Amino acid sequence: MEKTLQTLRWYLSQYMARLLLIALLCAVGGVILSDLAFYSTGGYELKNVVQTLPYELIATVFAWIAGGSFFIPQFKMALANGVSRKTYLLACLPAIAAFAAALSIFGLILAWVHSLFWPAVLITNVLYPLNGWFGVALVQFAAYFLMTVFGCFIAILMYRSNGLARWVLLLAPVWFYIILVADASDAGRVMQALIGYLRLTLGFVVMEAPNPYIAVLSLSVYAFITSGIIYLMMRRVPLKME
Amino acid sequence: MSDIEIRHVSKAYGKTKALKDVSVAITGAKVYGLLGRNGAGKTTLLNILTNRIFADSGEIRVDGESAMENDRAQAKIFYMTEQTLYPKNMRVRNVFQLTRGFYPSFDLTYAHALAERFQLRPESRIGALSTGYLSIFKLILTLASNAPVMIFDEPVLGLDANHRDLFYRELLARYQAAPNTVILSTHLIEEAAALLEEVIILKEGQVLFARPVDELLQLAYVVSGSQENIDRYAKGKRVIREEALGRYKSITIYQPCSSADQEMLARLGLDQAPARLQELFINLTN
Repeated sequence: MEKTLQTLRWYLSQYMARLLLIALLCAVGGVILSDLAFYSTGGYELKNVVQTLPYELIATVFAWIAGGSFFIPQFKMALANGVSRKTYLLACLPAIAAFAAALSIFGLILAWVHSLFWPAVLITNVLYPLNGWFGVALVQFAAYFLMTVFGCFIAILMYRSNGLARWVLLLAPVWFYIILVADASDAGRVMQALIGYLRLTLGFVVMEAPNPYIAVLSLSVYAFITSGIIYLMMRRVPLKME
Repeated sequence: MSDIEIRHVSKAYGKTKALKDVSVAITGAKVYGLLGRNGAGKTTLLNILTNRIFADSGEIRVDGESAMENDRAQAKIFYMTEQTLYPKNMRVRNVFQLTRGFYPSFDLTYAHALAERFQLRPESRIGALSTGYLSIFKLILTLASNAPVMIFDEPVLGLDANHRDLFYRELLARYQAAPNTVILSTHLIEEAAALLEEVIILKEGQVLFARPVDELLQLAYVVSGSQENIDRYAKGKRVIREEALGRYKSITIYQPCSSADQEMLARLGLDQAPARLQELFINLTN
């Protein structure tokens, strides 16, 4: 327990805090750029139109990068300090949760501040009929948490892979594109199934009244399963130096 | 100090067997030398002990507890490895701070004092350190950790003679001030010989010898004197080294010196001296 807390403290103070700062600066920059683009393409006349902020897109990418970039270097450092793999993962999850919470809260603050100058909403508000801040924060938190865990998953997958397997993984977007092209010749059935599945798990069973809490539940379950897979992948992983 | 018990540990990398049923006990506050030729399995054994890798079979216990994925057992060990596990952009002083978090007995003041003595700038980034200074940085971490078990794997890699001397002196001073279990894995046997109390010699993944240094040194002795008398004395004995300079000759005999041998040495007017650890090591591992 002591080592878990110590690892968690080190994570939050040494790494996550810095990464969060960079993520937030990028998010603010992204929102400003989006405003400028909106303004320069005639948005000035539409000043009373509610602007949809691209904050979630930027934050989601950052959450994924955070998971992918910190997981293995910090794992090595944990080993150097006699921290077991299980303790490391147990400390990672609350740190990731704190990171996701900070990202979602900042999103709310950003939207609120933006609205003081120019009416704005977040993408979550557009997707789900949420009135209060809690629901928006919860949906975002679940999404960022999953994305960061998914980043960790990719990192451990790459770490465990040999040279050839890494190339196969790196070319994943290409494989996905090939599947889409092949699927197009079959009337897009795979894509339809995928969209149907996503609609179901993200709470869009009834399109007119989507349920955000189904999305929260689904994303949390995905994160939980991914964490379990990560643990199975790292429980006997040897230290590798690249 | 802590007791480490290694029981029937085996490890293979593909078809190469790195460790074959290794069993050895490391007990009490002593300085152990873990010796062996390249590929003997020293680093593999230390990596298994510190959970960097896992054994295929067997177990390691630290103070009676399994060392595998056990934070309590691992907290008693600080391992200075050849590998650098810290991010390159991290500063030396930040690693000191971080290590104190994980090893509560880490002596931050001592670490900074050592850094000054070794002329290592705490502001330096890990990635900017030369091979020698990387070794210095890691040995400072280990010395200041105050862990019950300190493991040094090739601690003097890339160090100049002055820094090597300073390291041995610091290690000795630290050990005398607070005796703990020290494991030194090195190829520079001659330099470390004076520090070692026990040796564990590995050969081709197996323990060849695990006893006090004194016992090992009693297995052989050095005789020197006139060439003619030396040759007469050496007849029928197992000579593992010979050196001659003009009429003077020196040999190392690999067998205990009996009382009959002592008498013969006196009669022939030959000098006897203890063998050197490195000579014995070379002979045992060849």
